[in-house]
Amino acid sequence: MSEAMRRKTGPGRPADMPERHREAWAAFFFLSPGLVVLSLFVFGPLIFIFVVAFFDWNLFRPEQHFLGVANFVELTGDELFFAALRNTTVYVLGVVPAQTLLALLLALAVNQNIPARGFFRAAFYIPAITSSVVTSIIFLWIYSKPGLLNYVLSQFGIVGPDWIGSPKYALGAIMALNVWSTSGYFMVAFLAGLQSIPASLYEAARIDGASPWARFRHITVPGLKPTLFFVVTLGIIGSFQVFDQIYMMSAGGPVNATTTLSYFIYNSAFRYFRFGYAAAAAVILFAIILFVTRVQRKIVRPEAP
Amino acid sequence: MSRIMPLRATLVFIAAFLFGCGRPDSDSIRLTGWIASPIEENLTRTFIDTFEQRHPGLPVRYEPITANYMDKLLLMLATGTAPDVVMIEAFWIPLLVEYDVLLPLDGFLVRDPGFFPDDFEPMLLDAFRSNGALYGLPKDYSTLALYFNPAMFDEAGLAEPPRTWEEFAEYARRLTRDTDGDGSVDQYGYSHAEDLEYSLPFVWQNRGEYLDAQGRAAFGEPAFAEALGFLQRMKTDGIAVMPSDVGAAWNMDAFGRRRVAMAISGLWAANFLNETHAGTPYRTALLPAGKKAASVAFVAGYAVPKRTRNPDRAWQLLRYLTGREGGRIWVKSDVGLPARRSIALESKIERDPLKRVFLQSLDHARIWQFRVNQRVLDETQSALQAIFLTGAAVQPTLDDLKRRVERGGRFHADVRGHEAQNRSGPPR
Repeated sequence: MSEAMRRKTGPGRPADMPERHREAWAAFFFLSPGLVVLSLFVFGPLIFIFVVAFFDWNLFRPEQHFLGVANFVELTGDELFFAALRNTTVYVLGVVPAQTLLALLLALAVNQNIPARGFFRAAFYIPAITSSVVTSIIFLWIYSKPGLLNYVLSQFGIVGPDWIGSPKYALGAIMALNVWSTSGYFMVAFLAGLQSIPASLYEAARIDGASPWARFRHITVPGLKPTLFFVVTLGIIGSFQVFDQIYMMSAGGPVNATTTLSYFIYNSAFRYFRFGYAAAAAVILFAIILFVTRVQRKIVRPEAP
Repeated sequence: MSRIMPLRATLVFIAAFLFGCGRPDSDSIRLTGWIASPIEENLTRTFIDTFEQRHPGLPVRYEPITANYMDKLLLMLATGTAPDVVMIEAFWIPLLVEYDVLLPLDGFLVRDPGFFPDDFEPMLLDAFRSNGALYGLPKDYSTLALYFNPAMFDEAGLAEPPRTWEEFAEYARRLTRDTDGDGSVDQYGYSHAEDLEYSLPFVWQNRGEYLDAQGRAAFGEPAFAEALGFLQRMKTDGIAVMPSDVGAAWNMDAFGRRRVAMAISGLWAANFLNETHAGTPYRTALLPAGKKAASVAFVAGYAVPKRTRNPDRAWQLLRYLTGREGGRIWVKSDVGLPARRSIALESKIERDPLKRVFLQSLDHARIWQFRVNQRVLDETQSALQAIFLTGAAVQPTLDDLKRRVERGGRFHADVRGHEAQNRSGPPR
């Protein structure tokens, strides 16, 4: 209970407990629409995945066959699954550091007293609130053979490829799009982090004669640790689950170059109608994300100063 | 406020929320379909108006699906929420029959002497038949034919479209030109699309098969590889391109942009050319033939889901959609040729220089229909992309494909205990 609330209700009053109960009820009442919808469409299916993964689950049959771990065994021999796993790993390793670094640089830049600061903040944030379908379609055009990117390259005498149509470049092109579209969002997180660092620390350091790099290294970086943890965690989860841009731009191709785990899961469930198999792959994706996030927590340690 | 009130209010709220999920409008016949063109959508709406005028008491609710048609329809069929009449490509009939979600229509046909099922092109009607029962009725169809640009042919001194593979390659060579004299080629002979259906005519013409009569992979055989090799060679020789090579969205877009002189497509491409590339002249011809003539026929029709609440009302709409009157409306859309012979005669398809080519192709065409897991088709698509986009060697790529799809019985992963049925597989 917060300080303000304690003052209002007064500590140790006999009516305190029923009051708190009533508050809890009211809280649940106001939360209930959200909780019902979330339980029905998010938490329920989420838990159900762990059941479906052990079945040969086909919506067209009234009864489902229990398979044990057969779906998982089959996954270990599925080349497409491993291609998806490899693509996803490349994607995460490329996108997460790039978007984090870019977001940090953007935040540091717009945190300075530069002209038109508000404009730049808004401009960098716009991709984050634009529908991914829209950005995908715009980038399809930018990346196409006669598109904007190749036009710019041609000014330097470079003949660019069809970026999305080439197995060599398609994944990298989609990764670049994602770095662009997500770094604005994380920039705002870093900005909030930067502004929560007390200015007095910087003043004290300046009086002590600390160089700008030393101030950054010893005040800004430790001060941003909780934000960094937040950004990297969300970045990792989001990157592991990349789907919409793949679905819109390349449909996993060409030659499976952009088939990611979530796209593999989608196809297995909704195109091949193998819900159990898709659920098994989803469980593995869940385990990977859980593991990576825990490792990451060990490395960044948000609570450490 | 008593303590129980919020709980009760919550329950009322949830009940109201769930109530809203119920099915509205239970007395109208629900119809769904994809939208191939704006013309077709307008025709469908006119069609429904006419039907409702003729059948008072049978209101129709049209619920078109604008994207990912089969993904959505399969889910609706599986969960019993599909509309009463659904548009369907013949391709899906074997799979849906196996999933047991379609209503057999033979009983309705017997009781309805005014419907004249014998009027349908037999091959098209058969596409909706499985194990002797009829699960849908054809609406229209299109075969694949060769589109060529007569102006480019004139410039290259060519009078007639190619009739053989040799002529096809030779003409493509003569049509590949640097038109603006800047030293780089800007007009190519042919634009190939990497999808299986555009390579299949060449495979069949070479007496090859995708699947054999038992539904097993036949794409490892030399005849299949030879046909793909012929097409791949045209690309490596620089006389054919993939659409993306010239910045086009698909092969007919490349044709419309005048970057290629020849491309293969169905009747639907004529609509696209007229609307999007009105200045590009085009004519159609039978596909150039290999060891024999062959083409692919895509058939669209309507079916009734097994779990429909009112089969008799659904049949009323279905018989109108695929009947003679309905056929007369569809024929205006130009997305396909009429499935009924009487309508084809009436609308003088034989004398239409564009459409008659697609009609004539039906003589040697086979239906686009395989009983195979979608995963296998997707794996095939990836292999074809490797061959046509990255120049991968044909035979090793096909061998690898065969190994991938046959491993662990994944070839028919969702057809346990059923004999595979492949219309396009066994020669007719």
